[in-house]
Amino acid sequence: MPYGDEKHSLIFQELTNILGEENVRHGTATMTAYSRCLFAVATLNRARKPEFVVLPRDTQDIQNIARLATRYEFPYSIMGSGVMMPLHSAAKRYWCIIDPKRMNRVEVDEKNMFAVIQPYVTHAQLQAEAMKRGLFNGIPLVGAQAMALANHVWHGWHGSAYRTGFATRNILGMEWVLPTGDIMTTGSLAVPNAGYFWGEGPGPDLRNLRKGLVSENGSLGIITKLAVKLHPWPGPKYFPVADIRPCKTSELPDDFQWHFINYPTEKACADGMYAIGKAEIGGIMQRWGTQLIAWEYAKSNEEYLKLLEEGYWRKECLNLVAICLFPFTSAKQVAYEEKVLSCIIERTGGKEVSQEVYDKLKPFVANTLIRDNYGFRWTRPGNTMHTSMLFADSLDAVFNAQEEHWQHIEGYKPPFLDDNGESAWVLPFDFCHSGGCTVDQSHEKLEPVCQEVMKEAMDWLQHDIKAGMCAFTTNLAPADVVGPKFANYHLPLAKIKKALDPKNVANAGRFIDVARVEKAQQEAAEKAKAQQPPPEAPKAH
Amino acid sequence: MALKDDLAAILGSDYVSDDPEILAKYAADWSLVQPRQPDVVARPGNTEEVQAVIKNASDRGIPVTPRSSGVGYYGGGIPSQGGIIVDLGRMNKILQIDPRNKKVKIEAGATWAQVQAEAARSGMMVCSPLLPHPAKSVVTSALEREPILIPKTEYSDQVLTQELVLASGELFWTGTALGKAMKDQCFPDAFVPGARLWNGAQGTLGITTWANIKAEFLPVKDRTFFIAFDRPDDMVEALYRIERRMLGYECLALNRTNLAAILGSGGEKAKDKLSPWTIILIVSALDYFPDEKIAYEEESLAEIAKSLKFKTTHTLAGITGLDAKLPAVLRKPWADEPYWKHRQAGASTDIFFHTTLDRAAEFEEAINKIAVAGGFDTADVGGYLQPLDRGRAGFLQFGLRYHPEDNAEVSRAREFHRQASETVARMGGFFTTPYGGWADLVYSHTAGYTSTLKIVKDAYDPKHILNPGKLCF
Amino acid sequence: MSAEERKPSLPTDEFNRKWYWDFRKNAWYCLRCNNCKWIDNWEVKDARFARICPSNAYYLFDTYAAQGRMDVSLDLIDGVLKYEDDPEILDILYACNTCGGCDVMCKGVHDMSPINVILEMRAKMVEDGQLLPQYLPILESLRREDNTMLGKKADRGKWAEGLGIKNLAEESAEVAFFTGCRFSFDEELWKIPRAIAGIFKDAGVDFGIMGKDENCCGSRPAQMGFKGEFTKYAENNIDAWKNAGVKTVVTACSDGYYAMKRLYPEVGSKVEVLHMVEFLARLIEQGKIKLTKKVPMKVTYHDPCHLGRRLSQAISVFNPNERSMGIYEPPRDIIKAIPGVEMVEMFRNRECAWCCGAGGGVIDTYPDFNSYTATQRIIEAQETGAEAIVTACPWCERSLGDAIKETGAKIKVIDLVELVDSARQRGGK
Repeated sequence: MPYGDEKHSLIFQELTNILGEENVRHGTATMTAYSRCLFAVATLNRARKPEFVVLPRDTQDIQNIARLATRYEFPYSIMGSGVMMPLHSAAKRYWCIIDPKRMNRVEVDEKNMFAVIQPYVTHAQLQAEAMKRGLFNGIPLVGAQAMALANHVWHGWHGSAYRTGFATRNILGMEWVLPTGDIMTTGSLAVPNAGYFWGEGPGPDLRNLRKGLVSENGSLGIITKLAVKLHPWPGPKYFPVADIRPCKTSELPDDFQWHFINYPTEKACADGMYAIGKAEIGGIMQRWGTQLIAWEYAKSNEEYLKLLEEGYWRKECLNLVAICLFPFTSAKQVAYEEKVLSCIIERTGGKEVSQEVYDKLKPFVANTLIRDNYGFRWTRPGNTMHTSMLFADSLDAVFNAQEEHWQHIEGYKPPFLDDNGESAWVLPFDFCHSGGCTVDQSHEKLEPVCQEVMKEAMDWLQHDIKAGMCAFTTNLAPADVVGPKFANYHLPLAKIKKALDPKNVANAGRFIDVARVEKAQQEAAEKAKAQQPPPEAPKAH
Repeated sequence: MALKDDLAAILGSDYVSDDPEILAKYAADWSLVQPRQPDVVARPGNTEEVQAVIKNASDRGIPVTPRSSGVGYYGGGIPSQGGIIVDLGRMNKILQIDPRNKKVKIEAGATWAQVQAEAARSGMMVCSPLLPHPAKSVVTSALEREPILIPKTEYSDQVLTQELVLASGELFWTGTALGKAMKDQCFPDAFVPGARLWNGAQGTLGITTWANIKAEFLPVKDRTFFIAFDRPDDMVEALYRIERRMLGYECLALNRTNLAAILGSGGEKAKDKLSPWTIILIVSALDYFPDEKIAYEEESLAEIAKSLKFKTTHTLAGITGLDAKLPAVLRKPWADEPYWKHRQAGASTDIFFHTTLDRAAEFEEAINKIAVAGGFDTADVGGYLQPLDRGRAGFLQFGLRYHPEDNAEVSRAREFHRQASETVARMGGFFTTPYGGWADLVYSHTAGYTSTLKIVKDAYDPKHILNPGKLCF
Repeated sequence: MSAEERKPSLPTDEFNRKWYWDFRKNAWYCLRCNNCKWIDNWEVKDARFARICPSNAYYLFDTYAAQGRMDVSLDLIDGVLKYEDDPEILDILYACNTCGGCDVMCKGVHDMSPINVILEMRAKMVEDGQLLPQYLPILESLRREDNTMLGKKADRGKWAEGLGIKNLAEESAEVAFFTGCRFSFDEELWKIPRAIAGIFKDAGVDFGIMGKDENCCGSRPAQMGFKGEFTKYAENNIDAWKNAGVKTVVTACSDGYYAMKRLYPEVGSKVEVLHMVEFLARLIEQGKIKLTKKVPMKVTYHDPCHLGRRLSQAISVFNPNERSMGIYEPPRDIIKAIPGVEMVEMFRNRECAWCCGAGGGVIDTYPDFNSYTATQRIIEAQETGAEAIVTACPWCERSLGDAIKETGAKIKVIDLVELVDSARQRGGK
């Protein structure tokens, strides 16, 4: 027990009363297991540990925890796989981490193409249940061992978003425990006898209180059940797999076709993607950075470094578009789309990769986008990972932004590692109506390196704020820090947070600092009283 | 200074009116929602003027109800508590047609007639709901979630980003329109809250001045199929199969009454030859090898037809040339007078909601029962089933035709609407955008959602000046 | 700067270039990616059968997974955490089947070996005097009777009474059959070594056993952290084989096989070590066993951890570029070669197999956890519609057999040897 005071004992006793002794821990060892992850910030904050970890069984348990937390004013957060732990780790005294491992049910409505999932269902589990029924759900880059519910709510850029939309849009009915412990249901689940099938409404769409480029990280409550869209899967019931880990491969049946197209320039690459989107062909389309391919392909650091030294991926795949043609309608659809694709490749100046490269990419890399296995291979070179660039807008804007960020990163090498080339993963949404990218960097998990890495993130945050970029850093920073530069979007949010979470216990201190907002408002009011000129109002653009 | 004078000072006296005749026009719409007259109508010409009007209203605590066009069917623009109507009809510019990013940037008052005509010049269209009124605002259609005819994509929501004037008179932007570095403004989720918080809000959380709306390329070739069904359950099974294989562009199902109305005088004459329900499926192709695309989709459709034992045809009730004309008809607003829903009796009162396709038949049965009990004929009920999101859900609309000049019939239609709404709500039909009396039906059963919505309303509109009396506000 | 001008920036820590064994670095570089909790994502065929770590599935807290154990180990190594800080530390590190599921999954994405951190931690804890109380009788049995089963040394060869098998303490033979503690002292399982003796005799194999002079192989002590005991037994066994002129050691115990195959060479063993599965395959190939009798049965095969993925995880042999080199196909090939047998796979198989629950000393120290783990495997096996689970390890057979008894499941567990024995041609028929 790290803090043996009276309040700690009271909270522990009450949590035990709610959940049973076997589902509550406060021992130092267990707290240690909820304090560390791959990111630099967690490495630097290794000493920061929660005081309680609990295992609720169901929604009612979570309601009881929320009510208890509000009564006794202790902060809490929920953590699925904990991959994004810096957003959920203990940041204050008496922190309680809710581990939803006992909430792991998945139910599929095959006819109406959705699944209802609890917080501890992985993407792989969801995929397995969907594929058995001729359906599928997208897979994020992070890997299918991540929790499907958290990913849909938090980020939700799935490999198939080109056709299926980004995952946050694929959320249907939700059951949501508010910080007060009350339940809110959304979409069709909000009304009697309708079920989970529809996501919007009734009226204004409150799903969007959870979602910007990333989410509010549970600061407005905990989602206990979530219905997600499933999409038609014209492939086999069980994902075809051969060989033994880590050399596992996968080949889809012949009526799925992967094409890997190289372009001479990024501009040509973007043009190619736009042309493919305009033709509305394919089930998956992405642009892979060479670094990303290098990470995903390598089965060991030795292999990774060997290919890096040879400059293999830079030579073969510098501006690569990967597209998979799906036989949604029939095998003839693929034959037709192949013909269309050939025309587009010719018109846009692309070239399909050599057979040798194709044979490397297809069984090891490509299918990870349908049924991801090796997402975390990106962490191999330094055993950690850093991302300060995640961005979405038009595909053109995405290409420009990732290039700008890549140039910026050059100034931080070392400590950033590699260079196989750019790591940017460009993912079009909705047949190229918009798109997103992430730019990831390898670095080593060494404390001085982590310090530098954090500096880069802070520098880029300042860049984004100054430029007016709606991006990852500006989303991760507390809303009150960036809000003044973005039409004061934080001011209504502060009111919402305060009303929903009056004791500021739900992932306290992240997302928005209400006290800081109120203090700033008070100071502004005092200034105004002293007849200072008001700050310039935002102008139309 | 009086309100009217204040507004005239902002907009010029030509654009402010408290003429009773004009006010009366704004008091009602095509729905049976109780009319209510505004105190003044303001017609701003740009965003700054909207801001100034709202600021003035906010200072006075006067309600503001936005109208983006002169066409309303569900009471959303009726000023339930009087005050100012902000008519955005003058703000009807098409700011950009962007084929590369497949979107249009348009002001709130831009109508379907304007936008589709302009988009077509660039070979594009905005995905349309079923034959909208030409004077209806495209932005409103999208914000109010009118379902589009094309379920080929997984995205039924059309608004990418928008500019809003908040209740304080300050400007706000949703999605990536919030960042000054974001030139294309294509992505709806930039910060919390995401852009869709303002969808389905009927202007209660802010007044939209412009929006980026998705657009699609017009197909170069189409082939229209009609599939007739006697039983809605059989039709639904066909829809599930068609959608699962991603066939076609426009795909919708109409009952005999609606189909006859849409087909015009020929349709009315041929009404008896029409089946109870008909699926209209338009198989289309873009630039590349259009014949080949249509051929493989047609082949798949034939396989489904064989397995489910239905027939596909290219003619309907002996009307020739319909299959060739229909794609263009469905990609434009309704062009004739009167509006198609009104041609049979003069008016229609609509019940529409979302459900899963497999429940369509039970809803139809319930609605028909209520119509008959109310002294109507089932032939008076227009039915429309729109598969959404590849058949994951369906939008079901029943429109009861009535004669607006017959007070007794109006009264019976009103009662039908009340009973049908209650029945649908009880059965689990989902009103995503609860207009008029539906708001009480919905929000009285959704304690958590309603209380949170009120918190959101208080945060964005603490004085409750924006379209008060709507939803749960 | 153009892409061509960019120069690679390489890791400074040698560990990030080429894998080598480093206790602390393995723990330090854990990323919390969660691969250690689940089977290979491509292989998940059913949401119910997606987990790889029995300990995490049973105890649920992350502490009971390789990820949490890396965190706890790191803090213990660094002195941030002390044993006295939390009495649960012992359970955290001992309530693990050491099945290696975490390790094979981790290695899919990193050059790391969490199982070896766990084993090293156990050894450290033994050194530090941090023993589970449940270990004391086992330790006592090892010290007095050279077995982990609390049996009498004198009874060790009892299973072979009357079979006329050579005693290698007195005679020499080409092949030593190493019985192991479980087969020697678990009377219900004696039928298996006895069947092996019959097969060997019929196949003309020159073999013998050490009988009461056989020692524990040291595998279980090694898994429990008793490194000293392991070394002692390894040396004793190696000497005994040398004295008996043994060229090949065959065992039907997967646990023992792992120790003799992977750990004994480090103690100086030079003899060929074969699992009975491999030896059967050899005899079949040589035509010394003919599988001619029809055995009409639907079966599934359970991969013992130490005959599967654990074989690639010993520090001495691990190569991050290589596939997990378990013995996966030979038992399947043998089963499929038996006329009348229908072989069906469980959802989790080969390197993704779910442990039987017995490993790492758990069968003796955490009976409830052991029972849970085994029951999960029985449920999975029943899903296939199989009448029998075929396996190749006495620990699996005991663990799964007990779970069948407890649950009343309509399935049986049999050793591959029994299946072969039923199918083999005898006396020219």
